[in-house]
Amino acid sequence: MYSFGATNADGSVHAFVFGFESECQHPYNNFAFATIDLKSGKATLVACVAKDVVIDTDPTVGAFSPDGTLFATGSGNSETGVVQLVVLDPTTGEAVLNSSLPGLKKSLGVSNVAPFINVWGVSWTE
Amino acid sequence: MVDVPPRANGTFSVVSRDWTWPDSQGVGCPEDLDPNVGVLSGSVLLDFTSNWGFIVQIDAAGSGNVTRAVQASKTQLLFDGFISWATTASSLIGVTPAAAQHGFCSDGCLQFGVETWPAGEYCTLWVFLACWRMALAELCVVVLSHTNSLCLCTLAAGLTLLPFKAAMTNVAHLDESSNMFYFQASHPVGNTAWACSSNAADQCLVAIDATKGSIVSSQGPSGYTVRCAS
Repeated sequence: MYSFGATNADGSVHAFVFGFESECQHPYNNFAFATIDLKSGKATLVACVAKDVVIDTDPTVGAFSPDGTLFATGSGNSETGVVQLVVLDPTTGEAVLNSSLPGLKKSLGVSNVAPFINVWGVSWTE
Repeated sequence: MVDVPPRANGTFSVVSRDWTWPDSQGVGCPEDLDPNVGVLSGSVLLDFTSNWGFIVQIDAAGSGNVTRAVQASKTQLLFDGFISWATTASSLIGVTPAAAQHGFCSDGCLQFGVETWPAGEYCTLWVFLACWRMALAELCVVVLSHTNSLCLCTLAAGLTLLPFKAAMTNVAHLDESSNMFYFQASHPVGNTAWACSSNAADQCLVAIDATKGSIVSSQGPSGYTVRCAS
């Protein structure tokens, strides 16, 4: 599990997880959304992250929106130097946004030869 | 800090930049290493475990500026910030690396604790009325924090030490209705009753009674039932 979301009426919680390889069959990394029964540890798959979405690094940097309808995760890939911000629909695993935030280095006054911009954290504002 | 509308094709606006820490606690360039991140009432908290739990609070919902920088005070010998944590209105609750002179934690383990916020007082247990019923052998110090939230720091060695050597970063859940704190841990030590798997590297879903700091359950991968939702 990489992120916990809202609690359901039955006490289970939404979560962004890694696993479900046989169900998701993603070509690179099997991230998914699931509900977790905290008392038993049982996980129920809700949706696999879509096969056309590759999450570069640092899946622990992420957060569900307050209403639970979106999940955002971000990273900075130290190998490629590319920033990544992905917003997913937790019910389908499809990407609402998958961006390298082009122009961010220039906006922040960071040199192009600087290795990369790393996303430290993601939070939602109303 | 950058604001990104989730459905606007990656357009963004820079909210704030070039922060100046509001005091001199940020020695040793802790910002060179990734902090652990929490969210508290519209603010983002950056916990620099590379600098003994130095925490910077940023007004995420407003100006985007740094509003506080707090170095934790503590009665424990060791506290270098939370690995995984949850927030309440006036406290930060989580697990941190720990070590003890004797016993299973002599080579390092984890500890459950609470840091009052924004006072920054780190303790290893919540205060509760049970305080006064504690055994006399346990030396207690009661601290009244600046937020008027009581916190009990016990010097009873090992009381909240957890028999694991590693925890997943930034993944915790606090169920305030039941006062249960959940996080993931691996590499059990000492009391292997809480080892959820024969593979030490497996992540155990550990439930802690946040009022006592004691482990209630530890569920492992073998306890998972994988089934697709209908």
